[in-house]
Amino acid sequence: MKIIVEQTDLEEPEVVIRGNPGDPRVAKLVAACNAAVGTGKLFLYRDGREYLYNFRDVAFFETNGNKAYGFVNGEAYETRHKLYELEELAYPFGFVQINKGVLVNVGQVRSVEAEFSGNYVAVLKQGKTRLTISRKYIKAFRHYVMEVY
Amino acid sequence: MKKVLDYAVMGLGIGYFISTVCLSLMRGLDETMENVLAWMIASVLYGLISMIFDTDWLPLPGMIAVHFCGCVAITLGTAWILGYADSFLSLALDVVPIFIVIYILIGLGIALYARQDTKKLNQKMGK
Repeated sequence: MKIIVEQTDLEEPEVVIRGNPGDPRVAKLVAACNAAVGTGKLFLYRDGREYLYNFRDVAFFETNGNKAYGFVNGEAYETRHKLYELEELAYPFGFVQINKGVLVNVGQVRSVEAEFSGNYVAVLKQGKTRLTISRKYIKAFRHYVMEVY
Repeated sequence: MKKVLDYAVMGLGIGYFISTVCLSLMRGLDETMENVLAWMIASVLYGLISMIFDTDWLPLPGMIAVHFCGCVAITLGTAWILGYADSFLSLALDVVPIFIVIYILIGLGIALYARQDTKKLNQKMGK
């Protein structure tokens, strides 16, 4: 892999990745840029195609088996990241873990309801999606909304 | 307001603990002090057993059952040690009904808190 640094008069550094978007190294480079300066971009995959989305477009991430999926406009897209990696990558863009297998974009939550079970439910703005906020994660969710959001 | 309450409750807990220990040392363990000390230890155990609600170990009904049984055992044990009754049966008949009423009242308080909590979260997210 070649790395070329060009001197320009641009106010903001620009990174251009040339190559096949399906190459796993490309996704890793995007993730590395995110981790370094928070570009807010993420590769998602569906039907053999790659899509570059902003984190803010993703309503939530959910694990199913060994895979993690990001949900954009109600559609599920596969990610190549593990949930614990997404937790770190997506936190600066408003994502908080709300149960063992879900990270939610707090900006996409319409409201929160308390259930008799002691869990809370996050109702999303788009569609009728309702996600369980389990008791174990309520404190972290509350802290994020009240102190960070 | 929450910060003020948090500090007040923390002060209450520390003050209760220190004043109980100091009074026991200064005035000896008379019957009143024995009661205060025993219920202070029971309160610590109630607090510790409530930690199960911070886990996803069991579904809520199971956790309530475990918590309820644990708290009943702590209460009966403390009352028995303090000699509140001559037989365990009469102790249970005296203590358990009062315990159930208090347990339900605390449960209602927690439900009201959850309602207020979601209201605050929704207000913050709606801004």
